[in-house]
Amino acid sequence: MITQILKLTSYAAVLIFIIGIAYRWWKWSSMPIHLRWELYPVPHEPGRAKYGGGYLEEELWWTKNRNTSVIGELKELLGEMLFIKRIYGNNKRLWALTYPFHLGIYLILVWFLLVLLGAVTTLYAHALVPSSSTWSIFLYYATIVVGVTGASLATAGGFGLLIRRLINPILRDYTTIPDYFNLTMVLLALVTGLASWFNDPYFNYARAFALSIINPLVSPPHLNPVILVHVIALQALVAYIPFSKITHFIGKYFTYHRVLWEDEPGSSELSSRVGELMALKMPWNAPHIKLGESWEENARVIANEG
Amino acid sequence: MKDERAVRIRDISKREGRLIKISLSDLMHLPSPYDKPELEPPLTEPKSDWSSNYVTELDGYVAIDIPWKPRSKEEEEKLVKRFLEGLRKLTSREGNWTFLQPLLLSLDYCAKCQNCAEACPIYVASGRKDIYRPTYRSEVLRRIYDKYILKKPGVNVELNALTILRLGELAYRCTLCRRCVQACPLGIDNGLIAHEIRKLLSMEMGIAPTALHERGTVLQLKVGSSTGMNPKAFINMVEFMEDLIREKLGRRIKIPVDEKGADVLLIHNAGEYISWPENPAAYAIILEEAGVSWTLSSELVGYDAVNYGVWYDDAQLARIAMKHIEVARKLEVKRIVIGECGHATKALLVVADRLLKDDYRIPRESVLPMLRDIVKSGKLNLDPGRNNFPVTLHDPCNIVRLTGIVEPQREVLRRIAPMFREMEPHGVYNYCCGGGSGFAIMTSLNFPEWRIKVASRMKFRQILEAFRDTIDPSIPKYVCAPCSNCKGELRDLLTHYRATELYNIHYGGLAELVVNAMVDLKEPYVDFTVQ
Repeated sequence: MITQILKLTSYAAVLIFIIGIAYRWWKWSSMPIHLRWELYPVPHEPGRAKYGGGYLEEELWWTKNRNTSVIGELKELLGEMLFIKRIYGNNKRLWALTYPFHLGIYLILVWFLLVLLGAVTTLYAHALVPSSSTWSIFLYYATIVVGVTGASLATAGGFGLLIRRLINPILRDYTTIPDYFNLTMVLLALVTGLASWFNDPYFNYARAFALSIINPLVSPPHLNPVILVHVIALQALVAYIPFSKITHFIGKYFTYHRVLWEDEPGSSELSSRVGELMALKMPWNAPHIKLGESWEENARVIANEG
Repeated sequence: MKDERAVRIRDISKREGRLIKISLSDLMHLPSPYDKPELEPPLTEPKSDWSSNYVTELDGYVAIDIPWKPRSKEEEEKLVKRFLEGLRKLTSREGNWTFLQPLLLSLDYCAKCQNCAEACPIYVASGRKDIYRPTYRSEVLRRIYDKYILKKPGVNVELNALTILRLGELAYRCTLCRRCVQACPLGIDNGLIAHEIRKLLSMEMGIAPTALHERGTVLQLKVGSSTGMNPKAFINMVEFMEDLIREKLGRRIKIPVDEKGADVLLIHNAGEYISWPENPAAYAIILEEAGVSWTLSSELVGYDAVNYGVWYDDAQLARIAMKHIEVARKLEVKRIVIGECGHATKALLVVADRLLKDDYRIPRESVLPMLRDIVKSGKLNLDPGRNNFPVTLHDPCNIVRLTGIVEPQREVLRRIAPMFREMEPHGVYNYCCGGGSGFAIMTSLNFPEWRIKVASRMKFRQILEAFRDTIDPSIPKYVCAPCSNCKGELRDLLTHYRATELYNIHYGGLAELVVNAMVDLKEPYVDFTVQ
């Protein structure tokens, strides 16, 4: 009975996650266009990114073709995502904790994929995992190696980050209750996940549960209490993520792609978007502001009126 | 006062007296020859009567030199109310569409990992004082926003008059160089948060340093320049430069002013005319020799490229940018070229870019690529041997990290300065001169002492290290700073440490070095090489 309920709440948690993340994305992407505020190096500047230059290095730049390199951005993006190089370059002690934590989480995401593939293989290819096929043997062992490595790294790194925040007086001062709560939620899912592994060393229950989720007609397996607690912790985390700062992967996309690397020069299209905003009434109260008049009118205050 | 005590976030609202006291022994050590205590002038104490009008409760230094302290309980409550009203506007579409997304991203997503602290020259040079962490003022604002605007429960901050007064001063302990942002894995912009606090104070409460507002943008819009120079005085200055050129070049050049239909409208920071006329004069020589169709403008605001609005107030930023464009439109020029001035370059090329539409989108560029192309074209007869002294390059943050113009100035130097050497770090990872975001022109009360001792300290260390092998006073050395405000800061810095007098370290722009290398010149253009 309880596993049936957990099966249903799995759908609910994933649904909340998807809707929540979509809302977050919509919220940031529908914000008004801002003034340019780029920061160099901007990695999509071909040839110049390596030393930090941009197209404004060219005399008469507006008469020349402007090339941007998607590969340059991807390279920078992946370097940061996969290696967290900004922290490596500035604070190796912090990197020694945050890198295993994030790498572990990436591996756990790969583990989820492997578990789902295992379930799909069983369900649709009618090949049990493990069985004699190379693919299913690969899935079987890869799931074990990736899952255990990921959970161990993330747990070790996560505890290290938590302890660092607790013992360093500066970090303790800056860390708020929601910051601790976020880390606790993640660690709870990780610790119960590791405990579950002791009860399900080959992830057979995990695959069976995934299979029941993929096919609503299949009943979930009977799960022991430790695994049940883990599933509950995991579902709580998944549903909680959109409401927390754990969504910094979304924030990071916008800070880099829409602010720091956004060096698109003015154009008619941008002008029309800015034009609507310039028509807004300026609400500020200082004496030099023409309160209630638009941004446009305020910008055109002529000499001697300033 | 135990100045060694750590300063916590909550202390901004609660702790009595000064939050910190700076002492010479705490400051980052300078390399040889400035490792001797006798070469470090002492610090001064703020005058006792300042605290009745100005905020000395942060670190004893005063950047906001207008009396804004509340004198009664009612005034304190009014200050808090107005601040919160401003914060609401700052985080609204109507009030702050210009920076809303970058601001809210930075308020929402900071992981508070402190990775940025070591990237900040002010924090490091101060001896790592807690209040100068890039995150300190940001965290205070973030908590105020969370608690009083978003009404989140359990946020540990108290908003009282003291918090606002200290936060206001603290917004002027960051040069907005944004080096901290480069170190942040999440792209959090603590420099922007300092900028936004300044904006809230200015646009809602009319509070800003007089050098930026009353004697800055307001004066510029009124008389034409923040230097106070009116159009008539500007014309006199042009005549003075023509005399200077005749003296240096041996022949007279007619500097074009208000030439309708010229290709280029060149706008310098008007501070150049007052303090370093040899820089705009050098450009007159170079453009004349290169046969460029160009003009200066004598129109109000048209002869002063500065736009202090970019540091503290979006309305003033937009007004000045519009004036620059209107001047160019009236002259029917093909493009605007900004002289060696960092913030003016960033303001008109980058930050104000999207404010300009239709006919107002006149092409704009920095003078540095044009200078590079002229030098490379061979139109000037140059002998690099004339610049046979060590030269290092200071990278103005606004030109390099914030506008992406890195190589043109280096290409010029490699061709004309055989003893050119880089500072470390350089390019987009440079350190600010310490005069950024208006500091170089903020000369009231004891603020200059703070900016020289703390904000410029890292730059002074870099300069000394760049010239380590040639520190011998008999060898003249040149810090090339293609930015007026940086030059102003370097002037004060080198004067404070008597570095010109004791170690023959000079500073100046880029164009002066180019002209100094011109074969046709009878006498050296840069004075310090004259025996």
